[in-house]
Amino acid sequence: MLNGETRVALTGQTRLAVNLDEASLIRAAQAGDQDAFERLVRGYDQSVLKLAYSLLRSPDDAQDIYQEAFLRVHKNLHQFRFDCSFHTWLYRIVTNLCLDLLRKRKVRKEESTVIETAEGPRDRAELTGDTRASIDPQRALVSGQLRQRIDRVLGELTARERMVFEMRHYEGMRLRAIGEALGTSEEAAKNCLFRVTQKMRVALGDFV
Amino acid sequence: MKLACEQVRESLSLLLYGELSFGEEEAVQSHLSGCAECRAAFETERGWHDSVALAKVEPPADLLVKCRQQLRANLPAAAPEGRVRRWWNELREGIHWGWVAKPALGLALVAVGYLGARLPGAPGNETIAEATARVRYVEADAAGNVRIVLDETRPRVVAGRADDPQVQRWLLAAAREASDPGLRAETVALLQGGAGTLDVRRALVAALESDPNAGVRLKALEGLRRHAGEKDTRQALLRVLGADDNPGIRTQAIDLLTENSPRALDAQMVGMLQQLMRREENGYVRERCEKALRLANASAEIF
Repeated sequence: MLNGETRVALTGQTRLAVNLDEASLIRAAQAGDQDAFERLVRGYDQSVLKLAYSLLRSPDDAQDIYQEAFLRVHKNLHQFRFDCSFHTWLYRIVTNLCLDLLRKRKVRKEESTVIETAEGPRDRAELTGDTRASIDPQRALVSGQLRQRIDRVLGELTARERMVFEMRHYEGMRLRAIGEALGTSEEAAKNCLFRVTQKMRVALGDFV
Repeated sequence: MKLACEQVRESLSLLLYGELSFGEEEAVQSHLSGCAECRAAFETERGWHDSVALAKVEPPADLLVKCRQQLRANLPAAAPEGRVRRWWNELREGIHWGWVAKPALGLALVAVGYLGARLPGAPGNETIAEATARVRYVEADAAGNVRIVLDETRPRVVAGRADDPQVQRWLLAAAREASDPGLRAETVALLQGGAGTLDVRRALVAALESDPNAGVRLKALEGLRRHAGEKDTRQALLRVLGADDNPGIRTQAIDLLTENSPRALDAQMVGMLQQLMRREENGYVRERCEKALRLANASAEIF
C-alpha cells in the first residue's frame, strides 16, 4: 500500500475453471505447465512452511527451506514416477533439507527462547498462547516457565527425534507417512516418537 | 489381553496419537476403565500433550506470500535443464521417434499459444498485465489452416484507497474466497478501517466465524473491536465463544464482550459464559470466564 492506496491484483478468473486431480497436475507440470506447477505448490506449501518454521524458528531459514525445496521439486519433477505419493516425495526433500540445516546449525544446542519476528526478536512466551502478561502476571509466569521447559526438551532432542515429533504432534502426520518421508520404517518412527514422549513426560508431567 | 499398569502408561501417548492397533487400544481402554491411577496418569499425559500443542509457533502471516513471490521470481531460471535432460534420456533409451514427435508437437503448440498470448493485446491500457495461456484444443481443416483455442489467465491491477467501493468489492471477495490464508489475513486487516459499513462488518463476522486459519480470525476480531457493543457483533462473539477451537480467540472474545460494560452482561451472555465454564478445558480461558462472571455478580455454576 502506497500513500494510502490499495492495490488488488486479480487473476481475471475468481475460480479456476478446471479442477484437475493431483496426478493430472503433476503430469501437466512435468510437461512444463507453470500454472499447473504453481497449483501443485499451493496444495502443499503452507504445511511445508509451517513445518520449516516450527523446526527452525527463523523466518529467513524457513523461507530458504521453502525456496530450496520447491526449486528442487521443479528441477526434478520429471523424475517423479508415481511410485510413491507426491506428498511423501515432497516431504522427503523437505525433511532432508531441514535435518541438514538442524544438524549444521546444531540447533538443539544453540536454540534460545527468542525467535525472530517482523517486529524484531521476541520471546516465544510472548508470542504464543497467553499474551496477557500485563493483566495476569502470575499466570504468565507459570506459562512462561512451562514454555521454557517445553523449549528445553525440544532443544535437547536429536534432529531426527525433533523432526518426528514435529510431524506427529504439530502436523498430525501418521507414523507410516513420517517413516516414508524419513526413509525409514513405521516402527522406527514409532520408537523415535516413544523416546520423545518419555522425555516430555519426565520434563512436563509434574507441571500440568 | 491383560495389561500391567506400567505397559498401559507407556502406551498412553500412542493412544492419544491414535497410533495403537485395534487390539492394543481395546486392551488399554479396558484397563483404564478399571484403574483410577492409570486414568489419572492418562489425564496428566493429555495435559502435557495439550500444553505442547499450545506452544506451537506459527510463521508470520506475510511469510507465505513472500515465499510464493520469491519462488515465482526464481522459477524460470531453474526450469530448462531438467526437461532437456529428460528428452535426451528418453532418446538415449531408444524411444520411437513417433512417441517423441507427438508430445513435442503438443509442447510446440503450447509454446505458440503461450507466446502468442504474451503479445501485447491492448496497447495503452495500463491495467492489463501479461497473460498466461493454456491450449485447450487444436484443430486443422483440409486447407491446412490450424485453429488453436486458448484458456487465458490475465492478471489485472485495481488501485485506489481501501475505502474505494471498487477496491472494497475485491477486498471483500478476497477475504471470502482467497485460498491463501496470508492473503486473507492481509485483506481482513485492510478491511478493518472500513468496519463502519455493514458489508465490511458482515465480512469480518464471516471471517471470524468460519475462516479455517486462526491468524485470519484474530485479525477479524481486531477489526470488530470498535463494534463490540453492537448487537450483531456480540451475537457473533457469543457464537465464537461456543465454537472456536482456539483458546486465544475464545479469550479475546470474552475480553471484547466484557471490556465495555463488564457489570452489565445480559442473561444470554451469562448463560453462555456459565456453559463455557462447564466444558472449557483451557485453564486460562476458564479464569477469564470466571472473572467476567464474578464482575457481573453472576455465579460460575449452573444450578
